[in-house]
Parts: sequence; C-alpha cells; structure tokens
Amino acid sequence: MSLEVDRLECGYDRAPILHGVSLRVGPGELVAVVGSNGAGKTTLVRTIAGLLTVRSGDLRVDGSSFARTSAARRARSGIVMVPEGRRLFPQLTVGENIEMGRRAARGRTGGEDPVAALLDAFPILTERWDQQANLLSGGEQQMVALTRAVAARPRYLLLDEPSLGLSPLKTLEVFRLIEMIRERTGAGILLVEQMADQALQAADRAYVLELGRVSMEGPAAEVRASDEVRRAYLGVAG
Amino acid sequence: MDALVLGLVLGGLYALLAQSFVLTFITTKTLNFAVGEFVALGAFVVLAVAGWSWLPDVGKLAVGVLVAAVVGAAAYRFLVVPFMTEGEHDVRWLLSTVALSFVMLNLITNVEGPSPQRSETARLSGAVDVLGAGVSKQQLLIAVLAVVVTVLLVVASKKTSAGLVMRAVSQDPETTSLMGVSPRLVGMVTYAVAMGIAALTGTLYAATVGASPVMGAPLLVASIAVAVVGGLSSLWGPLLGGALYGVLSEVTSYEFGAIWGETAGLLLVIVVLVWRPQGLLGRRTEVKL
Amino acid sequence: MGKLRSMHKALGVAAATALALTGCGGGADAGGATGSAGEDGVITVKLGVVGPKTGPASLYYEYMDQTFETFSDDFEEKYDVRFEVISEDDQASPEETARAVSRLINEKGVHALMGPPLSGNSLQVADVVQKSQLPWLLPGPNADEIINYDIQPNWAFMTNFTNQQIMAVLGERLWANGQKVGIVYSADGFGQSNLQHLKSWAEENGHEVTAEETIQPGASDANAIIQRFKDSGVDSVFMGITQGADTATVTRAIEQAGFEPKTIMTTGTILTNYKDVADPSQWEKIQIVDPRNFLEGGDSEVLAAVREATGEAPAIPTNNISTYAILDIYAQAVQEVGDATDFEAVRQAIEDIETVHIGDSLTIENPFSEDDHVLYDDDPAKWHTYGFDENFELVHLGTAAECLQKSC
Repeated sequence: MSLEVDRLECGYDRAPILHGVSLRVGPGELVAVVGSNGAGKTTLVRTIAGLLTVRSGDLRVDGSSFARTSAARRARSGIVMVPEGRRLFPQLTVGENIEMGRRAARGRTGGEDPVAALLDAFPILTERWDQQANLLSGGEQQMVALTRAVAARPRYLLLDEPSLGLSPLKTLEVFRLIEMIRERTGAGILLVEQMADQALQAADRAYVLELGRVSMEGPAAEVRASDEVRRAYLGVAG
Repeated sequence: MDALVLGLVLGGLYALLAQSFVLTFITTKTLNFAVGEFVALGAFVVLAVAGWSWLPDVGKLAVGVLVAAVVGAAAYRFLVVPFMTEGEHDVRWLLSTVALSFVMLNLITNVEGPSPQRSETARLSGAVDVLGAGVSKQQLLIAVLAVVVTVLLVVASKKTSAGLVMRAVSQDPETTSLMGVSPRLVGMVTYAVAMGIAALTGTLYAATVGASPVMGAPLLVASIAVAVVGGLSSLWGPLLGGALYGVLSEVTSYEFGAIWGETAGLLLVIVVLVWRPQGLLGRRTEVKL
Repeated sequence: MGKLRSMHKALGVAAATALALTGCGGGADAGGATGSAGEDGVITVKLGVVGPKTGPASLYYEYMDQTFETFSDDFEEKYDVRFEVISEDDQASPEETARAVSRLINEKGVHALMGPPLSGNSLQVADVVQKSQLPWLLPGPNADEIINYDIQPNWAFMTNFTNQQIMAVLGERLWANGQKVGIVYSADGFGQSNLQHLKSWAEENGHEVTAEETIQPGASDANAIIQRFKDSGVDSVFMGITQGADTATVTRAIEQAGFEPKTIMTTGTILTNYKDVADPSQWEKIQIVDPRNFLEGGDSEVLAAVREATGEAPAIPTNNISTYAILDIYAQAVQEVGDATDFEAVRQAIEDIETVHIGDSLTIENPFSEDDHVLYDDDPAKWHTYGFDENFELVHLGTAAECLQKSC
C-alpha cells in the first residue's frame, strides 16, 4: 500500500534530468524531497502526475503500474498534483476552481466532503467564493490551490513548491494547512520544497535529490541533522 | 434604415458560422480551415436524407449536424492533435486543416458534382417586412438562430459543468488535465459542436443558395473576419463582429456600390487588428510564466 | 516530419482517387485515320477536341461529347465522313489548354481542331492555332476577339453568336422606349466582357448606362445592388452573370425588395444552375434572347435527338446546337474536297459553304465570307425572345424584333 517510484529516468527532449530515482510514499505519510535548483524536483513530480513521459523505470500505486496512463486518468485515480505557481484558472472564481477539483473525484464519492472541513477552518475561502482567482493574494491563491486538490479526494498528493513566493508568515500558514490535509484525508503527501528547513520539520521521511539522483534518504529528522544538508540547504555555515 | 436591417441580418449568417471558429479557438487555440467544407458536408448530408419523409425537418437537420460533428471530432483527433505537439508555436495544424479542406472539397465534388442542388429542408420561402425593409424569411431564421445559439452557448458556458470545463481548458489545458479532465477529449467535443454549427449553417444557407461543394468558400472569409473583429476568445464576439461587419458592408454597398461593401468589411478587420488585436470583446492572451 | 510525410501520402491517394473517379485519360490514338476515302468510300477525319473533361466546368466538354455521340453515324451516312475524335483535357485552365492544343497539333497530327469552349482559353491559343493552319472549329466561345480578320486566310469558324451580336440585340430591347438601364455583372471575365460590349453598344447608339454593379461569385446577397437600382430609377435590368446560382441571388433580392422593373434580360447562362436555387415568382419576368429556336424547327430537333440518344439533358443546349452546326459545315467541306489533309482547300470550302443544316428542317444560307466567320448576325428579326413558365421551361415570346414592337 504505497506510491512507488522505481528507478525513474526521464527528462525533456535529449537532456535526461532524472537518472534512476526511486522513492516511496506510504498512505498518510508526509515525504519531503529537497534539493537545489535544477536537481530535478519539479521534473519528478510532473512525471509522477503524468505531465512528462517516463523514459524508463516504473511508477506504481498499490503495486500496479500507471506509468503509461494519461495525466487525467491519474488524477481520477487519486494521484493529485498541486503544480508550482499554483496554476489556478485565473478567470474562474474561487468556487469554480474548487468545482474543477471535484471533477477528478467523480466516481469516488461517499463519506464526508473533505472540502467542508477546510472551508470551516478557513472562512476566507467562503468569503472569496465568487471572486475571480487572479484577484487573490499569493497566500490565498495557494490555499485555493490546496483546497482544489483536496476536492479531488487525493490518495496521494504531490505538492510542488507550495511556499514559492510567499512571505514567511504565509508559508507557515500553508504548512499548517498541509498538516491539516494530511490528518483529514489520510493522503500520502510528496512535498517538493526549496524551503528545506520547513519541509524537513514537517515531514516524516525525506529524500535529497542532487543532479537527478537521490543522494540521501531517511527519517526527516536524521536528514535534517546531517552535515551535508545543513551546509547545502539549510544555510548553516560549516 | 434598410441597409441597417439587412446588414444585421446578413451579419447573423456570418456570426453563426463565426461561432464555430470561436469555439475551437477558445478551447484548443486552433482554427479549422476546412469549416467551409463542413458547411457543404452538412448541407449534402441533409440533402441525402431529405427523402426520409417519416423524419421531420428538425430530425433531418439533426442528422446533418451529427454527421458533421463526428467527422469534426475525428478531424481534431487525427489532423489537429498530431500537428500541435511541439508547443504553442507549432502551427502545423494550420496546414493539415487546409489540406483537409482540399480533400473534402474534392471528395464532395466527385460524389455530388459541382452544380448547386436545391434543398427544401428547413426552407422558408418569401420575405417579411422588418422596419420597412424586405427581409427573406430564411435569412431572418438564420440570424435569429445565430442569436439563439450564442445565448445558449453563453448560458451553457456559465451554468453547466461542461461549460466550466470548457472555460478551464481555455485558460490552462495542462492544469485541467490535473483535474482529471482530458483536454484532448474536450477538444474533440468542441470540434464536434463547432462543426455541428457549421453544418447547421450550411443546411439553412443551402435552402437559399442550393447545396454545392464550394458553397462554404464565400462564407469563410466573411466569418473569419467577423470572428476576428468580435474577438476569437469571446462567445459574444461573433454577434458584435457580425453586426458591425454586416452593417458596415451593407451600408457601404448601398452608398458606394456592392464592390466596396466587402472591401469595407475587410478594412474593418485591419483596423481592429491594429487597434485591438485580440478583437473587440477578446481577452489578451495571458502570458504564462 | 514522419507525420507530414504520411499526410502527403494521404493527399496523394485522395488526389489519385479523385482523378480515377472523374475518368481522366487521354483519347485513343488514331489508327486508320488517313483523311482521305478508305475502301468503303468513307473519309475518316482525325479531329482534335479540347475542353474541360474534368473539373467544375466539365459541362463545357460534355456538350461536344453528347453531340458526337448522338450524330456521328448521321454525318457518316449523310456526308461519308467519319470523325475519329482525339480528345485532350484542358481542365479549363489556360496553361493546360496551351499544352493540350500543342499536343493535338504537333504530336497527334489532327486534321482539324475543335475547342477550347471557353472564350478566355480560345483567345489564348488563337495565334498558335492560326499559325498551325488547321481548320479551327469553335462551337462554344462567344468572344469576338478570338477571330482576328487581319489574318488571311483565316482559319477560325464560330457557330455561336458573338458577344457583340447579342449585346446589340439586347441593347435595342433594354433601352427601348427610353428605359433607364441597370447592369449587374459578375466579377469575372464573362461579366466584364458583357459589360464592356453592352456599354460600347450603348455609346455608339447614344444611350447611357444608369447604374452598373458587380456581384462577387457566391455572394450571399444582392440587396444593396437592387436598392441602388431602385434608387437611381432603373426600370430595365440586364444580368450578365456567369453562374446561375448568382443570378438567383440577384432575382431573390429583386423579389425581396419589391422591385418591379419593366424589363429583365439575361443570357443563356441562366439555363444552368439557376432553376434549382430559385422560385417561379423570381423568374416570372426574366427573358433571354438567342438566334436559335429551341422550341421548334431544326434547333429543337437537335436537342430532342441528343436527349433521346444520350438519355441526358443537353449539357448546354445552345452549344449542343452550335456543335451540330460546325460538324455539319466541316463534314460538308471535307466531302467536297475529298481529302481532310488538304487543309487550305477544306478551309476555303468552309468559307464558301452554301447551306448549313441544323437538324432536318433548318438551313442557313451563305453564312460566311472572308471577313465574317460567324454563323449568326445581329438582325433582331432573326433572333428569338424567350421567357420561362413555372417549371422553368422556355416559352417562345416572339422574335426579338417582335418583342421590341410589343415589348413582350
């Protein structure tokens, strides 16, 4: 019972970016992937989501491969991604954006509406419901993007740089929201972040990606404590 | 006054066909340059089933619309999708749809011959008086339909979930796919609807001028012009563009002779392109970062 | 690239299919056509025929084909002349016409050339054909300019009326009783030429054109044109329009605007592609003139025979008749000379022909002279005026001269 990435190779055109990356996300687990710019973090999540094609290696969920299915089908099966830069539909309202998220959950209904809890916790969403998405602040947009992903009833949630462009305060808020999503939905979360410190504090386990290869993996606290990571990603002078 | 009324009515014809350009442009950012042949295809399919006396005219129209819709969806899947894989600057679909236009024109001509054939389906003969101008009932029907179709499309895009999906795809197809919706499928459905509208236009127009393989060609230029003036990304665009184009060309024809009418319409296109390239009601295409 | 290539392939297949469907292919090569009498006493003539066998203008080839099919045996019986037709497809394009004509003259060694049927294309090859010194048989085109009488001896012979002739007959009628004339013409060679000839006739006869308007082929309406006619007081309309479908657009606008001119005249082009897209109320007042009597006598016999032999309607009735006339003339000339390869003698025999037969019961005497190679002339007494009944059948209203008197 998990999302598995098995010796994945892929990239754009002729330039390979990932060289045999393997990782695993269990249900309800929060897994962080940290690494510098150009390490292949975004390529990794976009490939898992189906926006880039797999060159070799495999992608499996609960043991069955989905490496050859379309992005839309992956979303419908519960592998949901929040892309870098939020990518809200700018001219749709907040409500319509969230409604679009629900499209992926069609056929997987039942139980309580996962969105309702978020709306209770963050009344601002309800206030902004009929506002056009491109008129929101960056923090609000990220909240809508996450809520939209939750509306898709994710089994595995892929988050690409959710803190990008946000103030430290907003970043904290977003991480609180991610934590809450994990509790409420029980989804396994793969979190790709430049803000390594925040991500490693929140995560259960972590992988360090360097030039398209996994250079380190282990419990998040251990990774956070390692010298290399402290030097390279946490800005601690060594 | 006559020129105004007749211009509006004429604009309705162009607006109806322009809607099929706008639809495919909104969702797929492509235009089907074989639209003129879908006009003819619709007319000939309806002509082919005209003898089915058990089927009311609306049913015959539906058959024509349906056939064109299926062919349109297939055209998108096999002649547009494979030729737009290299990103936004990949416009090979332009060539492939032009090629489709030639192939369809040849096939239709070989099957049906070049001469116009009379079409009685959904045909209203005679004229009515509209504010003092004699307007043919058929043209009036087409103009009214242009308004009805536009209103239906606008309402559908605002109020239905299919409309929501269409708007989402038009803004960001990739993210739409992350919502479990296949942009390719949306594109096929849009092409089906758009070519269905072209077939509808064709059938109603054929009732006036007869069904012929080249019947769509003269409409094509005018309706592209109308779509551009109104704005390719706006569902209301065709009505506004049609009204302006129709009235301007008709008034100019009245004042200076028919030869100047079309010229004036096309000058309008140039003016709009210079002054407001996205069309009067169009949105500037968002630059993606 | 692979995709583009397969696209090309698909196009190629489609094009090949299109060609196969339309029955493309050269004519049979000449076997025993010597041009002089064989053992059976019959002279077999190698006749080159050029016309649009394929494409949208194929009706202009079909009428020649129909006429051969119907009357070949008759001519053989009557004049002991057998036509061996070698045909080339000009696809109605000037380039293809030039190629086709040169192939017939230089490679196939034909004894006479028939066609091309479209005026523009004939004009284009006129010099070449005159230089080749072969009898040039022109049942189709109407342009006066095709025959340049400065060239003597002249090899071209037309059995259709010319633009100048029909415009003279029409002009008399249009401007009768001081009517104000409006001309609507299609924006192509045919329309332009109609306009020019009618205007120059008017000028020579002291009339002026009150309004002139063009209609684009395939135009979706003609409301403005008719409105302008109405506003300028036009009460006599001439439609010089290539496509019947465009003529229908004009007559629809006339009806729609409640415009009621006293006279509406047009040309024979209304006979093709008009009826199917118009209503009887729109053609009620339209009249045409023609030097042929389609309803009785020899002209109508030719049409009836074509209908019976081919089981089809005559492709272009006027030209079915003119094809018959030119074949009658040429066959007589060949019979008289006894050798189709003595081109100058055959040419002279055509020029001197005494009696042209059309069908069994119509004859035209001494039509040609050195500087007149056109079968008809512009005497209104010899022209006929036609209207249309509710089934779009021609109704004979009288000769053009009679209709001038009593304005039919």
